[in-house]
Amino acid sequence: MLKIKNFTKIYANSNVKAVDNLSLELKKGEVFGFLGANGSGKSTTIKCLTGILPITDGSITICDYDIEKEPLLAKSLIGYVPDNHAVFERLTGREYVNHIANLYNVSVKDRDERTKKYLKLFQLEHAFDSQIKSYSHGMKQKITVIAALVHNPKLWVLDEPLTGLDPQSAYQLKLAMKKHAEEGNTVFFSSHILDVVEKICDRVAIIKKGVLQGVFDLKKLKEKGESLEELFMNIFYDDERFELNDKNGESK
Amino acid sequence: MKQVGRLFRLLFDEKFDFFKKNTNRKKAFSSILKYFIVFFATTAICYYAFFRIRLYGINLDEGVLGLIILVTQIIAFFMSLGGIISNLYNSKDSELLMCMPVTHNQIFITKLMVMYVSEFIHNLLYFSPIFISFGLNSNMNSIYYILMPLYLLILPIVPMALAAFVSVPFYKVFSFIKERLALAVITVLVLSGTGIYLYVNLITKIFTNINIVGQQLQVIIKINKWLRDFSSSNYLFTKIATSMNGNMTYITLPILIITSAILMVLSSLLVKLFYYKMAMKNSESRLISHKKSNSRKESALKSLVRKEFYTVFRTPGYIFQYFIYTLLMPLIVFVYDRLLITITVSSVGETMIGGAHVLILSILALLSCTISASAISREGGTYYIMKTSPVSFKKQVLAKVIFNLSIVLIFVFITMIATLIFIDINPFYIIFSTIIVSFLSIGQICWNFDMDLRNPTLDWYDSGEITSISKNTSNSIILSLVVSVVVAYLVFLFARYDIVWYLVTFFAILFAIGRIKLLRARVNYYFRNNEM
Repeated sequence: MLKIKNFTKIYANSNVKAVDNLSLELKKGEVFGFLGANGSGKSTTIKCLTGILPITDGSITICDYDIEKEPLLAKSLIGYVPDNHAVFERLTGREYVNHIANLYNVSVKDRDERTKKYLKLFQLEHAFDSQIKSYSHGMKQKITVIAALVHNPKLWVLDEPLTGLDPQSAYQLKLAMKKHAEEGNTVFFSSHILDVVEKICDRVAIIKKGVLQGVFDLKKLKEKGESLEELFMNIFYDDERFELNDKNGESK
Repeated sequence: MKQVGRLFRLLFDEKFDFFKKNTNRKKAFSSILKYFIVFFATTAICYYAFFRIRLYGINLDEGVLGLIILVTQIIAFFMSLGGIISNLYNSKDSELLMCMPVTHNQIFITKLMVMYVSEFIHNLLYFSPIFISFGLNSNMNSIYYILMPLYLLILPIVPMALAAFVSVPFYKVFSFIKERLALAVITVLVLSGTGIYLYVNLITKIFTNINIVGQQLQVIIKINKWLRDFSSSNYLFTKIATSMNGNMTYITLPILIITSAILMVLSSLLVKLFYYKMAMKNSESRLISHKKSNSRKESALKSLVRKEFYTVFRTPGYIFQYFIYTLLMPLIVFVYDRLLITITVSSVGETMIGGAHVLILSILALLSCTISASAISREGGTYYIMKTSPVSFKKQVLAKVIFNLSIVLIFVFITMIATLIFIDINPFYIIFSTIIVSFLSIGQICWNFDMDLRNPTLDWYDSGEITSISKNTSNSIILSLVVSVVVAYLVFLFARYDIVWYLVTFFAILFAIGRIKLLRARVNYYFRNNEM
């Protein structure tokens, strides 16, 4: 479904590798978590695989379509929910979803069916004909999610999707993610909430300072009796703890 | 009091980032030097202007100073009104400040203090060169220069207090109109249209009734008489002007101070009553409903053009910023041409009318293309939608070009029809002007788009900020004026030969094709490499 091969990203105004030689492969029907501290390269990877940023080196393919060489075909398979939840605020929810559906060439029957389903799921029916400008933060997030799903994407990419959602909507979103994967699609999302990732993901990748630290099967991890939190802490904070101890004159 | 002091420092630093920006001595010195150069240059220009006025024989006495004070007070009043609305009622920081451990009263007082200081600084920078150069040209007493800073300190209080009084009903009416787009557009059109009509009417009267060159002496006598009459009716400000020059200062100055203080206290008490409610109104959210519509499938291009229309025409700020000249184009061209006919018949000659018509039409049309200089920047945080959509970027650009071009062309053609029907100018000039301006608009839209594509400003908080923080809009205005002047100059230069119209049309077509080709060649490269 999604193949990232030796992917490297250096921003135009920088010499630092934001992501360094990252390789990943996501399977059909799985929910995949992408973890890392702030500034570790999660959003950069997501922006590159959705076509927002150009790739410096390597390749990213979605269902065998290269995002750089065949961008339109690759993009037609992706549904993207950004972390800033920016939407066209002057449009109504209905106009916005319709516009996105037009861009993805979705039939009226399909868009109506899907919209109805997700509006009910996220309890947004009452605001669908109101201007998005007057929505709350959480409502904007919900309409972004609905618009991302209106073309039933093969790959659903979400950047920090749970921030700002009320508990009920967060629960519904988690369910929607699982259901989307069960229907044979793939869900790829970044998050800081380890408990959620542990509950809904099949596998996770952990990235640190632009370098992939490993891909972990959560079932196997559970079988070993190790929690995701422990794994994450070991990868991320061991070095820093030792450095701190060193500075304080304590032994490692 | 300590809290007010701290808050004042915070808000003052935020408003005047001079000290933040100039952290080292070299930078601070160059900034101060820059201010001084601008100050002295303005004073020199004002001095020259007053010197020329004096040479024509117009008496620069205290009556004229009273008139200058009145004009500066009117300007200060409108600046204060804008300042109160943006800093007190519409300020984005209100929500944040209200959460701090300070009372609403303290926030209000601090904001008022910052506003007063900023008004004083404005007065010092903008008005003192006028007062100094006036003094030098009218042989004022030396006490005038000593008292001037004191008056500059006191004078902003009265317009600020009056603006505060007016601000409450004004803001309520303004908010009412602002929330109703059609009403807002009609109000602006009516106000602007009336203003232009009155202005042109006045100019037409002057040109038709007065031969300035032939009757210079009579004109000067008339102006001096008008100034004398006006200064006697402008009693209050003439009195202030007299006291600035040391006459009866001991009476006028205390009265001015006491009156200003009373007005300030009264206006503060009034505004305080409404401040919290009005400042918080912007933070309240309520759903703005629209007519329910059914889903319908459209081509991506049509959907993109529709989205442009909705997002722009549902943002009143955009209409006023970008399309005010477009909406007024038929009216402005109509009154301008009428004026042109009046002048040219008596002085210049008919052959120049065509060139002048092209000039005004192209200025207005090309200014209407300015919105394309923020075509990408306006997307802001939503730029990702353009990037992630499975629609070619060329098509997305085309949608934005179609949007801008269709508006410009509609108004250019309405103007053409109105001019053909109502104005007695050779139809040949009017039709060719329309064709030339249409092609120039295509080229200008592509040029503006190209500029924004290369250097977009995507990081903004409020859509109104784009024009102020992006240089593309101001650059596009300059370009529009340059292109218009060049084209009109060509027509003027060879106005007697009809072939000039064919040649300029040919150049306009070349300009359009060239800019389209350049934009097409660069679109994909810049689109791919724009990082957000």
